[in-house]
Amino acid sequence: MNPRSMQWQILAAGAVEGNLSKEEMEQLMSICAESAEARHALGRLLAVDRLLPLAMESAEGSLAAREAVMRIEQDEQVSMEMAWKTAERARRWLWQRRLKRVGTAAAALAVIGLGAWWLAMWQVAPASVMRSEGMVWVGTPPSFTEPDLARGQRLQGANGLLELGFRNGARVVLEGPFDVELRDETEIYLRQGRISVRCPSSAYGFKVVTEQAEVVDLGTEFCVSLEEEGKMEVHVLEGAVEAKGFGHAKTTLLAGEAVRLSKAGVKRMEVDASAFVTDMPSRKDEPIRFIHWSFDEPQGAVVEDRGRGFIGGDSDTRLLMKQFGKKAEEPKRTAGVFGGGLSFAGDGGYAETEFPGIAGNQGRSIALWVRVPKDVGVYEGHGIVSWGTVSGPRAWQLSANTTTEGLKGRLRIGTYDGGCVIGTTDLRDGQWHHVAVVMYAGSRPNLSTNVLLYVDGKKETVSRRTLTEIQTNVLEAGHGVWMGRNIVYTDEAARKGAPKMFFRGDVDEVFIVDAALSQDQIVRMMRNNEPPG
Amino acid sequence: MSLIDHSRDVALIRAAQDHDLGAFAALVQKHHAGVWACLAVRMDSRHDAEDLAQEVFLTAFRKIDSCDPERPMAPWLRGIAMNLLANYRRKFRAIPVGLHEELQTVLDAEVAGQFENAGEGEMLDALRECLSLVDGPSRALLNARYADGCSIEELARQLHKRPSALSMQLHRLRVVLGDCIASKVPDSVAVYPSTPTASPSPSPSS
Repeated sequence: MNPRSMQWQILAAGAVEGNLSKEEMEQLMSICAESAEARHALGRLLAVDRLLPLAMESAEGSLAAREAVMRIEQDEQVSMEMAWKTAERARRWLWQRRLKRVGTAAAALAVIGLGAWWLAMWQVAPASVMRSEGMVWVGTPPSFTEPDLARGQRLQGANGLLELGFRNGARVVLEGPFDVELRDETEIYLRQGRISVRCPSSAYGFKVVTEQAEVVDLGTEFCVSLEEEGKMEVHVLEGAVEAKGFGHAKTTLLAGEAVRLSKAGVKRMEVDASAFVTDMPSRKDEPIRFIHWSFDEPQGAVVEDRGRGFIGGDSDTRLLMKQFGKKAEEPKRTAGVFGGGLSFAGDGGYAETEFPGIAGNQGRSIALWVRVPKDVGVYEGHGIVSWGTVSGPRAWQLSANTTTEGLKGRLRIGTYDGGCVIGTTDLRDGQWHHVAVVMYAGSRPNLSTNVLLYVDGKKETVSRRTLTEIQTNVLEAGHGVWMGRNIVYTDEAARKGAPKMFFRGDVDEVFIVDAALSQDQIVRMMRNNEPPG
Repeated sequence: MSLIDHSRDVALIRAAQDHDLGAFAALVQKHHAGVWACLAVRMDSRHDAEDLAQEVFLTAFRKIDSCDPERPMAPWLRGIAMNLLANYRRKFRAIPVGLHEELQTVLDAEVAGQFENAGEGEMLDALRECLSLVDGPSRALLNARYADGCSIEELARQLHKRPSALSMQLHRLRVVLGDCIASKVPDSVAVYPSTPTASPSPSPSS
């Protein structure tokens, strides 16, 4: 087909907008396979399309610079490193001048001060123990009164698995027998054993050093084995690493490549991912607990919880149909994606359970099917599922955004008081969508870093998010989990004459989980209505 | 790069290596558009590209000691960006729900090929110039679609037009802008179908 033809233009327009049918995509694929001209033209159009949003923003870059600086300042890890380096430079400067030309007292004070600082920095734990399975330690087991590990700490295991988390985000699994020393947060010294390393971008440059070589991460997952007799192997599972045998040239290894390093040189070999433990088995003593409302009962004012772990606990996890105001109707059963679903009219019908929700900074996931009408009103998108307190950012509410902050109709998780994360897929199309919000636990979890959104099984691009610490307060809410009622529409707000705020739309297969689910688990839920494992 | 620019960059990099955040901010300001453009042409989400561009600069700050002040900083940043992009793709491999997976792969390879030796920043600059020549309803449409993030369906409802008609209107605007870029950036190839002589100034009605 001539890439100048009308048919090609229609296909190219649809491809860039992402609204081609399957047949049209096949047709375009076939054209692109045959014609380099067509391929080139389409690639160019795509580049224009992708650069247009940037071209419409300020070219100054001052906002980006400010954000980068703010993030650097907030990054305690980087600050600590800088403090250490500054202290070290000052120490060297003083030393070079042999302290003679500097007033003795001032120098002594400076050295003492810097020494204390240096010591404080030195004492920041580079890593901590995340999990262990069947560990048999060599000699006396290390004292782990706290999971944090000190610089220079040596760990020797005869058997078992040990997972370490480094402050820069690197995760290391050690497989006994092993003998390692933690140099700092960017380096581990391996005397013997098998080690697998997974580095996020924040841990770029992480090193595994042995007596005969060093392996430097270039953004990847890799494994190193070192046997007692000095045979060393490096296997790259993802990304790339730089391996340098002392006395030999550097070798860059890409995913699927492996080398054996010895005094004789570097020898390429077949990668063998199965020879290493790259992930710790899940904790058997802490199974995932979840609530599951399937709405498959044909009718009735009570929806049973078909989940696991919360039934029979402190709270009744059944969902009760409610109505706010005399004219309102309770939510009604409707056809869902898997069996029955629940329909909310947006006029005061909602559902409530005694279960208070997942509290504090605990990891959690909400997953459900939702159908939002095309003409959903300004007060009808929020409160699909919610819990917590509307006092400070202490709530947890999943909505289809209808506020003026952020794009409307997009999946939103809000904490009240301005805290929110908003996606980009417009849910207002009258179709069923599978949505999920996952929060990863942490000592101080934040909406900007610990929350992922998924729509139809795909990780959702975030269009807006705030730097808000997550600390959900369920104790002072005065009610349990709500479904279909905006959490800000409290009885008091109603008394003060606030407009009614109830969700209008349908839901099905609602899961509330007390753990952060993976994308695989969410996709299985979506495709098979399969509960989380 | 002029000698003055080069000297300024050298001074800024050295200062950043001494942990001068102000100097580093100046470098971010200078290089941000190029890094973002490099990522944006390779990713289907502008927001992810923006997030990743931020990560590039955070990584750059952590690695600033390994940056040679005497050499241009842009290729060094580009290297970090490409590494982070490779990581991102491994971590967030998308489930194909939109564009045909095979087609997406072909186009990704095509775009990567076209920008193998950089040039994204120059294309962005040229696009900005070309955009400044578009006004009236065409500019309003581009703003609504690309600055406000309105979907075709939303726009169709607002403008009382068929989505297919809007889709074609936007396509024509992209073609004209592509032609305009081709006329401004050396070695740039015009978007097909183009006019035989690429128009340097798209008209409002285009």
